[in-house]
Amino acid sequence: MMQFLFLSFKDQISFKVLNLDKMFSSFQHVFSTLGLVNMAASMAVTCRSSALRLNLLKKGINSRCFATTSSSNNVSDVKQAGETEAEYPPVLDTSFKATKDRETQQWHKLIQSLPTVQEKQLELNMSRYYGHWACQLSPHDVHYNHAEFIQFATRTNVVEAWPNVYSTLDDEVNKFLPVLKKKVEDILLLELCHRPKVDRVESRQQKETSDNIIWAINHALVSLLSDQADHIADSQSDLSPRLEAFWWLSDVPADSRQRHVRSFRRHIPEEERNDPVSRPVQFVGQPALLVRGRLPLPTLAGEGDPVGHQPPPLEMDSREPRTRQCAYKFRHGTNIPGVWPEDGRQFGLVNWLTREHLVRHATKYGQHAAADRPDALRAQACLSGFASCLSQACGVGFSPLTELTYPLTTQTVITDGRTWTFSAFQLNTTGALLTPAEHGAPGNTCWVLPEMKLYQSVTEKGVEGLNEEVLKRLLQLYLLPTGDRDGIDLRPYLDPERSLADAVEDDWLRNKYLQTYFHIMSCRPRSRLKDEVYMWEKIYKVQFQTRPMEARKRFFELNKYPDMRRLDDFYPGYIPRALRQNFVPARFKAASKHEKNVFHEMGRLRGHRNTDPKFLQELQELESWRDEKDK
Amino acid sequence: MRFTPVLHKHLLGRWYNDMWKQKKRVTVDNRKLKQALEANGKTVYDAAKLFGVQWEDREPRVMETAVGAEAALVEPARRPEHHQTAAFVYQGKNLLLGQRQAQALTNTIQVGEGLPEQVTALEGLERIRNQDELVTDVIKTSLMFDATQEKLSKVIDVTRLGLPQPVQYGVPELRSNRSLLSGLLSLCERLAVRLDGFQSRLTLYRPLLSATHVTSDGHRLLVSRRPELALMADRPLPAPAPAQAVEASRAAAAPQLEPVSPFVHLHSVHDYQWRDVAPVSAGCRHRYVHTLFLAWNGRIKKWVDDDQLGALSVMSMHAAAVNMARQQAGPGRPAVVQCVATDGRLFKRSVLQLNTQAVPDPTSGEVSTRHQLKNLLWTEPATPLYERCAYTDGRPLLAGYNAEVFNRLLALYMNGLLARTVPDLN
Repeated sequence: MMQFLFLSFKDQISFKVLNLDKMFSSFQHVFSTLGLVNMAASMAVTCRSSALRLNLLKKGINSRCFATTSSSNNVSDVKQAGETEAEYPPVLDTSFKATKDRETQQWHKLIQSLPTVQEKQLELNMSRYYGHWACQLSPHDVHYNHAEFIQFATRTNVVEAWPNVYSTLDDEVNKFLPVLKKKVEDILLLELCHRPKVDRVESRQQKETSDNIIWAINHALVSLLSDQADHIADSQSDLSPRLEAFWWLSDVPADSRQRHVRSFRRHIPEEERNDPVSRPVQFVGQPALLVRGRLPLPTLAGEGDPVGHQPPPLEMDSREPRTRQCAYKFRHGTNIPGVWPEDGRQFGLVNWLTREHLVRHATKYGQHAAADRPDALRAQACLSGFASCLSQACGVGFSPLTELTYPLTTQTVITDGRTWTFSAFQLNTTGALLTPAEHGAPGNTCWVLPEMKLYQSVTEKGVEGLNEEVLKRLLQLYLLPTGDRDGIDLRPYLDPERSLADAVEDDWLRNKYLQTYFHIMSCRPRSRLKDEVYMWEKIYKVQFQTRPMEARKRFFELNKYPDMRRLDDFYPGYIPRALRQNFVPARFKAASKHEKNVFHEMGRLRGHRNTDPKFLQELQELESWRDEKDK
Repeated sequence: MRFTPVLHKHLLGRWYNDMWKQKKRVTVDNRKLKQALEANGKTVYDAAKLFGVQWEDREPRVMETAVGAEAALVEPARRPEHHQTAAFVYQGKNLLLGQRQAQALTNTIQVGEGLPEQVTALEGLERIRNQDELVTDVIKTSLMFDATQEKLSKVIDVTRLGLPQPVQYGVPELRSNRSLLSGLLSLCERLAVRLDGFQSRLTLYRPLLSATHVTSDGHRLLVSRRPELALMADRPLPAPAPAQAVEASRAAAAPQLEPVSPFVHLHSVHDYQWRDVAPVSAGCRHRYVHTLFLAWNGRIKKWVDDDQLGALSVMSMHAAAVNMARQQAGPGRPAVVQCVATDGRLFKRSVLQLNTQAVPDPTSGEVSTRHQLKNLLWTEPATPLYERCAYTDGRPLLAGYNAEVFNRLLALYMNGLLARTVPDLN
């Protein structure tokens, strides 16, 4: 098309320089208005191509009229002639990598501009019908020397200390300590001495006992503090909630398959074939108990605090998750802080975790398990804290692809009733996960205390050696008040005026979209499983073409890629004739046999990205930002 | 068809397993060989006698049954929970003939309508801050906003017989009911500090509860049902009925189910654990069961109503009270237990005063307990906490919230906590 335009204007190109300048700028304006942003951008690039310059030089036109913004002095010369200043589009890099990066940035902006949590989460999964091939992480699968990889995967720096924020609560803690101490003694006596055992398997019995003690102590703390602390009075406690987090992890080394595929891509230079890649990561956890509130916890370390913004350690043997016994699996990405987004209490206050996995850890690693236990607990605290913060960030409108506007905090307790580990996590950034890990770049912070024993022994006579330090830490976690962040909007990327419940007037669309959201977030298997290449087909059809006369009907013979199938690429449900509407115009009769595609309908309602002026404006801002960054 | 692991498990795996089970019992039958050899004049010796080997007896063939196939494969005498005497077992999943059968089984009579005055007098005395808002939030979170998505039991849609039935995912009822009860109890507990009862109460999550009975003609009855929650106290509840009323109960008759036995619908089994299990042992300071919180966890919910919740309440309260009475190890005061039973929407309150541990015979029924002391039951009709709580047309909806229900739960919680309702232990 560009060539056509050029040829059609070639004969008229002998007019003045400034007229030509106006002409190009006006075309760019037309293309921008029509939504053809890339066309408008490529026009400027094409005009700087050597062929065009050659033609123009033949016509006696100086090439300064196609100069980039860096040659603005020449334009100012022209301006002195009394003409208006030309506005040039930014110069875009048209290499494959830069184009892909630009598309990715546009997608990030799109997710940021979506007005509801449900739409953001579905857009994260929109590119994969059968889910992302994601590395699966679990707090209960803690392997040997696991902490360093978890710190890399969550970009977290571990501090073996306790934040200073808690020291201001000492007076209140000492006030409640005697009452709580007596109550905890009663709970321990009842649970450990006077309650019949349920399970004969050690890890299961330990899990049962831990859950009971956690439940009882949490109930005691909430009832004790609800009259004094408003944030506890307004909180809710969930038993075994669904805590899941999904993010993309950059700087994972490319595996042999990736390098092999890259070797066939001509647009990938040889020096880039070994570049690291981004991999989806899915955390699936179920804490024993989760306390949630309406407002976030305060920042544990402000921007000026160097302790809370240290770079994570990046020196390790391998960054490949599979070398850490973490498997990959096709699964939809889910970010769930225990409840759906309609619940008002999205901010996690205290995470209660159990230690029964350490029984398996000890069995698995034998004599080395004891030395590795602090490492395992550190990994568990980091992973659970990060997942809790990220999922609650997604619950208030951020995403793993959207940078936070304020840090988020959560607190974690890991216990089996006797041994306690306290930790606090501050999520400073999600952008660090998307960019290459650089030495010195600040990340997130996890404060972890060493293990503490709550008691020495519990007999029917009583509890011996009750450690008040544990109870003080526990009270500190519950007494740390929540609150607003000094005028910062807690949900900057959610639009209450465009919520699903209020703004979508079509009952069918609203209901169907919500059901689709639940369906995708449940991660149930698809009704039709993904196409696969059978072993005999791989041998006789793919590797060796031994059946040339056979009809090419299989998906891999028709250039179809199930992995690349989009989430909205499906036939909607069939409507039986009896249930169709009475009157359907003839031109819509074929379409009326099926329901409407819920994603297309929602996209039509929200506006397509190329016609949405808000999105175009954000895109322009993004490009200008990138230009400034390049400078 | 693709040879998937599921297919393998479904078809070939099952075939392999069946073949393996059959082949392992096949032995070489050499009778024809022996006959042929002897017909040719050869002498055949028995190898076992010749070498002095003692062959082990072959395993007896055990017929597999549809129910408990794995258990049936083990010899009955080797099963640890096997008993020669069968017992009638109630585990909370049986649909009884309503509350009448539960009363007949436990030798209980109902006293009037409603709860005792010492409970009803407490209704509306105390409220917690933002009570209605907090209660509605607990309901919404438990039933709507909980993000748990598990595969639910299949509900057969009779209008789609012959067609694939839809697979439902969502929050299992058992989980939502437990969350609901836990949240409501947590709100009730906020009164404990205000009423100076923080140290006198403890809550138990999923306590064990089992009670055994032997009837006068030697039959066994086992009631075993784990409540969802139990509220324990350091002192017993005051008896709602005075001693005269207890003595007068001899003249009353427990409900009669004639011509059927009161033990109808109970499973008679040989595999059971014959022991009393109290939520906590006798040495514990908080050994008195104050209130049981029960949720219907059977699959047959569509038949569950006020009557079935009443039956569940009576059986569970009786088991808890019997354990408390046996822990006292002597002729003590009557054991009193309160109960809240729910199916997620209906809430039913009950109070039981245990005066006797005697239960009727399966054969003679009510006649066997005539002119004896009876247990006393106070109960009220189940009340809905809300009419509907679900996503409706894509919007979260809680309709018909009944604020009175939580006030009644608060009254149950306060019973025994306020000074005037605490019994004089001296």
